[in-house]
Formats: sequence, structure tokens, C-alpha cells
Amino acid sequence: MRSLVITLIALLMSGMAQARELVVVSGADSALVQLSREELQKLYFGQSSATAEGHSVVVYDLDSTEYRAEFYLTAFSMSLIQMRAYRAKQVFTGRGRPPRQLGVDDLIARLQQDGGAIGYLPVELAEGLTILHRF
Amino acid sequence: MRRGGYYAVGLLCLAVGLSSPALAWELIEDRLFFNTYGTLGVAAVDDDDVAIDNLQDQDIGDEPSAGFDSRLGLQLEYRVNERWNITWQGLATRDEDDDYELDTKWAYIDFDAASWLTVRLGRFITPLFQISEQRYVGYSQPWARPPLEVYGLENDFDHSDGLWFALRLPTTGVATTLDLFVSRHHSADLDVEIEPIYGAALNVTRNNLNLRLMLANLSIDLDHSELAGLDQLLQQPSAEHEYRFDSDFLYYNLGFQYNDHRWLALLEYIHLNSEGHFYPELEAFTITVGRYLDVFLPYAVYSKRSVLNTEPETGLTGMAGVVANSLIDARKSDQSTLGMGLRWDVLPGLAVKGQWDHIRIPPDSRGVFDRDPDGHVNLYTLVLDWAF
Repeated sequence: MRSLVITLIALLMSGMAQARELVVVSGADSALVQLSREELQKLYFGQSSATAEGHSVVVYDLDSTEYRAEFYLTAFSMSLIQMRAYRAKQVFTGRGRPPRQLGVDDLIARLQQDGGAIGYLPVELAEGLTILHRF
Repeated sequence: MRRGGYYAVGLLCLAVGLSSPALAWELIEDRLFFNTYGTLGVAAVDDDDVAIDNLQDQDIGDEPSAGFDSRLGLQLEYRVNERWNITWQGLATRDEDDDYELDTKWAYIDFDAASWLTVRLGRFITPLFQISEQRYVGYSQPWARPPLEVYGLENDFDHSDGLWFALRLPTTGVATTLDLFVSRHHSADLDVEIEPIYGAALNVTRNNLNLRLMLANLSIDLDHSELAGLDQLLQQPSAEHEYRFDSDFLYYNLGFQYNDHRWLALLEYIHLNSEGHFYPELEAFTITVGRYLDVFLPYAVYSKRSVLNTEPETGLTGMAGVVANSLIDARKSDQSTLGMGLRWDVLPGLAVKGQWDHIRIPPDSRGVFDRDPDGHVNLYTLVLDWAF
């Protein structure tokens, strides 16, 4: 019985360890302050390249499949496979290209250089950046 | 190119695509992109008396055939700078000699004039239907075969050359785009010119919902030299209907999509109105419902097409009456289809789909078939779709 309880606690803790909090971020000096989920959807779905306030934005993806899958599921309830089918439609109809994929370090560097760049990161890596949206 | 050549190119694209996690190959970083899509499909009907033909003389008969559905698309996009883009897209399909022929479907320059306006100049697929633009990209659609009653109307006239303005309207709460285009299509093979083609499509998207309303005008001009005799025969004062070879078509379309990534619903209604009695006036609709189950998407689809101007010609007599009524009979393509299918996303960029269509044809119609079927026909389709 005791070993069963320990196993259950271990399983719960491993589940908790996997649940990361992702946040959408821009550079520290960015003019962007906050983005709603609707705005994020328009930007990441290629329906707009500017915020509601008129700031031009370039969106980035992480090259980690794990983070990317978590972001699209959390933000838009979409699997990467569903997103791929949507992006195929965008690409072959000239309505947009998928966001460029960067590693975490390259993304942070890009955000610091370009005030119009946005991406997503685990919250613990977002220190010094502007958090635009928390899920 | 011979068939083997395109199969080799297709297999090469598929193999390289499967090895790449991204949806593009950057031939020059952030400048030159190469993408490909394709379909390898086989289809058959359960009736050995009828077949479905396309304009390339490829058909679906009672023997499984790959010629009708298989195709390969190639796209090159050059990003000149942040505001200018040049894109070319070719599509290889099997032609009447059983070779694969590469047609340019898209070739245009895009200019982002403002954050809310993109101007496109060149060749593009005329966006008449909800899925016109991605009609050949099977991977981006749920079906193994898009409903024939609506999308079977697409043909060689699917692309045109001209100007396209894409406007992103400043609306809050919804994403609204307005596409305005004016273009022309010339088919040397068929001696047909459609000019001008102009139209507007309004798209409104809110979260998982999308509505599309389209209105277009197409002016068709046939080569009269070969039709002079027919012209004289049918255009008589006693004729009950008017037979004009040069005609304006008014086309409108209402589309609806719901996709919350658990449930999928698609609805499209189209109406094509022509002047006179020479061309068909028709309406069609289709409705699809699907349920995402991890990597599977089972779906059901119902579609119906009706030709509206089928009243017989009673004012003409003799040969003229026979010809006029033959024309009217030949365009009776009423039919309805109940279909069920399954999409399986095997890998990112690669899907296998199967579909069964039960097509019902009324007694005085031949539907999309080359001759009158006996009541109903079952159509089976299996495809492998990819996009990289």
C-alpha cells in the first residue's frame, strides 16, 4: 500500500514537472505591452501582421517540437499536425509563410534586437523580456 | 516530361520532405523558398458502363485508375525584400497522351503596399470557391475527393491573369479580409476567352468560425468561326429561348467553416447564372461534418447539384429543334452524393485518406458521368497527400 502511494505521488510530481508555463514575449525595449489571445491568433495564423494598436509584428516559433506543440495546443487548441495542414493552405495560396523557427538563445537575441519581434518561452526563461500574454 | 520522370521527382520530393521537419526548404536563407505538394490517388466506380471524365481525357471507370487524381505541385518563392515577393507554382497532371504535363497555375508579384493592403499582379487561381485556391493541395483539405457537385465544376478555366487586391479591414473582434480581383483567361486549346473576370470575396473570421461571401462576373467569348453554323441554326425569331454563345455569368457563393480542432463543419452554396439558354444555370451545395480523433478525422459529406434552366425548346422545329434540345439534355448534370471518409495523418506533412461516395442520379440526368448511369453509382477513392 505504501509503495502504491509513493508511486502515485511520484507520477503526480512528474506530471507537474512536465506542465510548463509558456508566455508570449517581446524584447525589453519593445513598444508592445500586451496581446490578447485573439490578437495572437491573428498574428500566428497570418491573418494580420500588426496589433490592434497598429504596431507591426514579426512572429517566431521555437525549433523545439515539444515547446511548439505545447504552445499551439495551449494557445489555439491545435495539434502540430492540424497547424501543418493550415500552414500548407497558407503557403500554397500565397497568404503567408510559417514563422521562422529559432532556438531559445537565438529567439531571445532576436527579441532584444527587434522591438517588433514576438515569440513564446517557458516563463523561467523570460527574465528581462516583456511578457505580452500569459495562458 | 514522361510519366516516369514526374514519378521520380514526386518520390524525391516526398522522401526529402519526410526527412525535413519544416514546411519549406530555404534554398537561399530567408530569400528563396521551395515547397512541394502532391497526391497519389487511385479511384474506381462500381458500374462498368459509365466513367467520370476530365478535360485531359483521364477517367475513373470500373478499373482502379491513378490518372485522374494523381498530381504534383512545385512552388518557388523569392522574397525580394520585406514588401516584394515573386512566386511561381506549377502543377503536373496526366494529359490525354498519358504523359505528365506541367501547367503554370500561379506566377505573380506581390507588393505589400501597406500593412492592410497587398497588391498581386500576374497569374493566380481565380478565387471563385471557398477552397479554389488550395483546390489541388489535397493535404490542406479534409476529403480524399472534394465534393464533385460543387468543386467538380473547376476545370481548365481555374486560373486567370490580372490584378488582385487583398485588403485586411480594420475590424475589432473579427479578422476581416476583402479580396478584389479583375482578370482574364484565354484558352488557346478550346478557343475560349473569358474577359473580364471581376469579383469580390469578403471573409470574416472569429475564433473558430469563418464566413465567406463571393460575387463575381465572368464574360465568356467563344470563337465564332467554328460555331457560325450553330449560331444561325439556333438564333431564329421563333425560338422560345435565347441562345447566346457570348454570355455574362453571374456567380455567387456563400461559404461557412467551423473548426474548433475537435469538430469540423464545412458548408458551401454556389449559384451560377448565365444569360440565355446556351449555358447552364446551376446551383449546388455541400455540407461536411468531421470529428478529430487524434491523428484521425472521420467525416461525412452530402452534396447536391441542380441545373435550373432545362425547359425544352419548343419554338424551333426540324434540325434546329433537335440540336437545341440535345444541348439542353447534354447539360442535365443533376446529382447528389452521400459520402463517408477517413483522413489519417500518418506524419506531419503526410496524410492517407479513403472515401466512399454514393452518387444518386435522377432518371433524366447523367450527372458528372459520360453517359446516363442507372440510378446510382458508388465511387471509391484512396489517396496519399503530402505537402512540404
